[in-house]
Amino acid sequence: MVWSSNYVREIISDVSLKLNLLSKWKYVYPLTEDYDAFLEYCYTGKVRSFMQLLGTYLSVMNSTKYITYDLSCIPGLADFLRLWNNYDLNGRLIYRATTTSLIDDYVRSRSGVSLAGGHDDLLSFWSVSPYTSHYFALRYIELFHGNPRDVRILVMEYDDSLCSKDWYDNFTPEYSVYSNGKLYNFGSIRYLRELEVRCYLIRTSSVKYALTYDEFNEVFKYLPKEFVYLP
Amino acid sequence: MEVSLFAIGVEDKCFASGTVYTPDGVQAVNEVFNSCDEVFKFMPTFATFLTVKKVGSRYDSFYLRFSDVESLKKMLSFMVGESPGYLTFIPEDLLSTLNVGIFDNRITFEPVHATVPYGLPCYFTGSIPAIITFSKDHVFINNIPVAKVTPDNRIHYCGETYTLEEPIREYVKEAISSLLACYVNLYPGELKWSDVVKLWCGVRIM
Repeated sequence: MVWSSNYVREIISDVSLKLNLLSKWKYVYPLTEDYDAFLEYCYTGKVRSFMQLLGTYLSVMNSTKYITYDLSCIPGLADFLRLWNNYDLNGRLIYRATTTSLIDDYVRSRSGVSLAGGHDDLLSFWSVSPYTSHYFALRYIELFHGNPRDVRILVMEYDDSLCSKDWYDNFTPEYSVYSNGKLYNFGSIRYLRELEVRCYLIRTSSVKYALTYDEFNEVFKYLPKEFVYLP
Repeated sequence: MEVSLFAIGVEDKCFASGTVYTPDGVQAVNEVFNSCDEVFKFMPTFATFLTVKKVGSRYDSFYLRFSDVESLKKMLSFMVGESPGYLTFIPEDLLSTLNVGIFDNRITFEPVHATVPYGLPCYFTGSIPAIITFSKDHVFINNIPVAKVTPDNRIHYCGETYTLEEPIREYVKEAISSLLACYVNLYPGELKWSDVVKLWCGVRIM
């Protein structure tokens, strides 16, 4: 890990390159938090239940099969998911809010998300957006009364061989599959706000910056406020 | 189904999806408005059940009001047989003038021009045939076996086994969502949600 004030410039630059994605995202993610109401109003409760059942069945029977969301119900969602699924993260930064207790030689996690074909605790949860890390760091401190000194915001360059964006289109429960050296991540559409990337077997030496809570807040002062997630 | 619209206000925009009554019949809506106030002015709509939510707030549900009496008369012709809740905001004297009544907890209105199409979502989305047929020991969808029935009165599908406690055709009607999910799982090539909804609309038990 490198401790350097370069992170301020790099993170500001990274966010500025993602403004197009974030500008579209901020209108769409609030809709996905009520995706089931939208589907029910468009197609009836029976069809909505069927869609959710299908997503669940797929996660069990054919766990790496993708369904593409191309419905006009939930205005703008299909366009955004197309943008997200095709978004090239090579050369971009990803962010993870965590605590010092989950960092040793590897970046570890304690999460209920199941990983088929690997060890759950070595699957780590990152985001394309530093605003997600801001939300989780705040939640840890304010909701769970965690000590800010334990918080670290990890920043690293996206690595396609270790990481993969969440596929949100399937309406499945959250899960990951590690198969033949490739990671398949399925995210809940309700959590589109997280713009999540999951990675497997991340060595701590791959992490570019491990920012303290204060350092991260200092950077945050320079970022646009319109993308802050307020539940 | 209830003709209804769901709208969420996000910052300076309002996103709405669902169906509305119009003088030309029921129409599907998937629109982005500049504000949720515009939903109320969207076409000469009337009595559509509307749920509006602002981010961070709870839902508010109500019925859209009618815009003019002539439009109202046309729209009522599409509402025969629907819930009287839609009449909430029509003044009683107008209901009387138009000879709108309630019978068996359903709207009545003469003369009847048309009724809401059966299977409203399918009316808008279209369908892909999902023909369900039976053999002695299998259930097929579009000729692909999706379930196996064994002599011990058990049915096996989607990796699960259940006991048949009713005739197979009755069972299939109840379990159609699961069986269709098994079929979709086998669907070749790229899978899109629009195809999935169309398959739902195309189910026919032969």
